[in-house]
Amino acid sequence: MRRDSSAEMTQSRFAAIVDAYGGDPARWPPDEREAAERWLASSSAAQAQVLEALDLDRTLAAQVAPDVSSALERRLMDGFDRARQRRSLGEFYAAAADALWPGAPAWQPAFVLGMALAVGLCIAVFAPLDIPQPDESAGSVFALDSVPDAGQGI
Amino acid sequence: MIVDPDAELVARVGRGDRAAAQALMRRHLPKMLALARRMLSDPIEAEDAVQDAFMRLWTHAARWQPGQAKFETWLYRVTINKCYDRLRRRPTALLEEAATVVDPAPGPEANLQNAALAEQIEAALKALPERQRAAIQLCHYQECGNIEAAEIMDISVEALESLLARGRRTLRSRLSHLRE
Repeated sequence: MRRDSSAEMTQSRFAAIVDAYGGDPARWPPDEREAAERWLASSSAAQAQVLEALDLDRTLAAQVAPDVSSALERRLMDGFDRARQRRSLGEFYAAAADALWPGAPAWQPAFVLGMALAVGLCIAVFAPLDIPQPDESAGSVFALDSVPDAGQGI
Repeated sequence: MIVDPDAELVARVGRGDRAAAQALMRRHLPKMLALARRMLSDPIEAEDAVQDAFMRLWTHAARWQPGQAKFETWLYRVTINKCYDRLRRRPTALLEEAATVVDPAPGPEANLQNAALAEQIEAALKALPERQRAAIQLCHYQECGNIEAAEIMDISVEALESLLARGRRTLRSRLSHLRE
């Protein structure tokens, strides 16, 4: 929630701003900064409060940001490469599905393919197969016929 | 409509542009790492939290809708939430240790050494409750505006100010020996 920027600054509001944001006006809420700076210029109590707050600000500023290691950068970019690879694979499946069933959501062709596979498996497992078996006598005739001049020497 | 300086890079990352990913990483990584380091006080865990946040970015960039929220706000929120998750998974003993006030009586020579000073500030920050710590990180170190910081933490500006004021009061008392 934003505060009313036209509202007059009060001593308690000024104290609350400095308590929360410290003594540097750059950190004060932008919509109240101007009024707070005017208050600061006119009040010695406000100036004393700001000086005290700046003291803590300076102490906190002594803590420097950590260095970023190149190993961490590499790990992050490896993560990017893996994510990109996974996304490419996903996009490949989506394109294949779109080619099979243009305009349909991806689950529809996947569902139809899955159903087709399930029906095929059911047929293979449960449907009786009526494949004619070759006649044994015909086989022996073929066998005898296939031996050239088998009985001629007898 | 929010003008987002990251919008174009995020769109390119969403299209799989590696150079854009690298540029986005270089732009935000130092601040994100500093935020996670101060939240977790553990450099290894901080790197892991940042890595989790970036992984989320890489997988969500393609779905990013510009104009709804500032990208940086979203990214900080993800990072802070990853830190909260890790803080909650820590054994209670570690949390108790974090809440212990450090010995505030180093010699005056030590105060002159930046490393020792930074260590004491880090310990004082670490001892703050996690939401106060997050508010101080965002407003003081990340230089977020009050509205942006409140948005990142998903709280009102009034609640943010209350967290900041309580956090600063505690820090002032715990670090008073450094300012004498």
